[in-house]
Amino acid sequence: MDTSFLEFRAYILDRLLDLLWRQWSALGVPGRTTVEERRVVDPESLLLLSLTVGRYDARLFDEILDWLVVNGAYLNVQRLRNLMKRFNFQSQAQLSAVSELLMKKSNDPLKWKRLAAPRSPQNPEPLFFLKSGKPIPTPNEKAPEFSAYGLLRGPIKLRGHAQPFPTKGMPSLLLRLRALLGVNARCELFCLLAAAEEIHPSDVARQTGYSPRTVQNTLAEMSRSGVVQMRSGNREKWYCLQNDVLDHLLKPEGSPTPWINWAPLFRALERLWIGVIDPKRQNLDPLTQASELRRLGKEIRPLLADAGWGRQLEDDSSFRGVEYSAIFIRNIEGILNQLNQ
Amino acid sequence: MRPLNDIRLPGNFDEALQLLNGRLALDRAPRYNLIVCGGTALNATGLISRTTKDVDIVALMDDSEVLLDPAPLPQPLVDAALVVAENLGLANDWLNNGPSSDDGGLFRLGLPEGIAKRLAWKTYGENLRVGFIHRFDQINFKLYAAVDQRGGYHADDLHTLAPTDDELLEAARWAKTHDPSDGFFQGLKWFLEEFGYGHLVPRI
Repeated sequence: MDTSFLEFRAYILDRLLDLLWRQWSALGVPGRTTVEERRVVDPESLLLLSLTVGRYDARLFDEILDWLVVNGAYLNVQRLRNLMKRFNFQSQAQLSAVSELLMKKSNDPLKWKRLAAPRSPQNPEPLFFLKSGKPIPTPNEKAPEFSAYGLLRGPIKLRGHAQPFPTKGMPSLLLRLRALLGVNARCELFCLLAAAEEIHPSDVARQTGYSPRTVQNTLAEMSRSGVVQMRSGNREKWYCLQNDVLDHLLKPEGSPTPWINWAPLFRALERLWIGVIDPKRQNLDPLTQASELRRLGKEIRPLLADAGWGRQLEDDSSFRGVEYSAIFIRNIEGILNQLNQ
Repeated sequence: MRPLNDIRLPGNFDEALQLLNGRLALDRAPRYNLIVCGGTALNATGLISRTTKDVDIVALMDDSEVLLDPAPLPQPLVDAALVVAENLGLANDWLNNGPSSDDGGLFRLGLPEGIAKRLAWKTYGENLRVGFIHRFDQINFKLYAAVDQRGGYHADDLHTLAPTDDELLEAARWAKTHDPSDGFFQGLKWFLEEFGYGHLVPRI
């Protein structure tokens, strides 16, 4: 197998796992992290990416399960379903298995029942893989919640180390707002209101995964509080936060708190990872490999653009044949480095 | 059939055909055997060294060595060729069936007898082999095209191929089977006279 491609694949996995550990640690998962997360974390998008990439780090995967038992009440199941469907995340089987587990372990089994897809134990495969891509052998005794979805793993032994999410700091802002206001769209709307001078409902809908009507109606209701203010112009309505009222909570450092549109960005990263481990993309000659990287770039570019990161991936039409491989690798390294800064 | 794997094609068509093989393999497409004429074949077989803008498919061949109509080209081949064009900055029709694209094309009117046995092959991988036509068949095609188009670069190619009298007479006989009209016959006589082969006119 081409060494440089293998190195690139290993690099992507390392950086993705660094990012996942960093974000989960910021939400209360005990574990390794070298750089502190300072951005607002989107727990639904984070979970959907983690259920795919976390298969290459069994310890992270099980720490997330542990965390979900403690904090799962603050996850928005409807939003998980919406993001899964809208962006076509590939972690449906894992999410269903996790939901089955949480139906047993959480105080709200009905909530998680809504997430579980019909059982599909056909064509079972190991849940976990080594970083090299080799499957981790599964013991005779299997976790039934995962076997029901064709994912083979040993029995789940949760360590019970997970902490409630922190009550301070920007990464847990969305979860803290949910604890304050309930699990509903208002929490994401406050995050976005804190991130910009003013916001437009259609842009908010795009960035949160809620329907435009939900966003429009909710913002209209919130504006009745006086905390959120509405401005009309050119038959459009724009919304902003009244100065000072919630600044201590939403803008603790005084300036707007940047909101990253994590869902399309994480779906792009999931697609990238699934793309580079695709068996058909291994052992290709350099020319065909460049062609496949070009194809992969075309797949993830719209998602990156949706997340506001489109300029990070250069236009492939400027580069001929094998030239593009180095460009793609450089661009992806740039994106992953920037995410891990 | 002669293997020709050490021959380089003009421009970047070797690279294009190598990538075409890779794309066909990735797409799990069948194996294709392309029979190529025109400038690419002239270069590949070392007959003439000149620039060319495309790869002309005159026929396809199955693995039992039966020649097949290349019109329309199989969709997996078309799809893969378009990706190659995009990746390498080639024209979208860099790989085409122009010489045999319709009822008036070479394949449907009939290829020269024994053309398949005279091919020189280059293998690009599991999914692609290219058979380049022989000098004898080039002379047939070039004479027909030169008469049909009243000279042009086909006449230049024919001149460079320096056919013998017997080869030209054989090519004329084959060309007349394609177009038995008096107009074509008059055109054939005109061409032979104008391009220095007038002594053959009484024998066609």
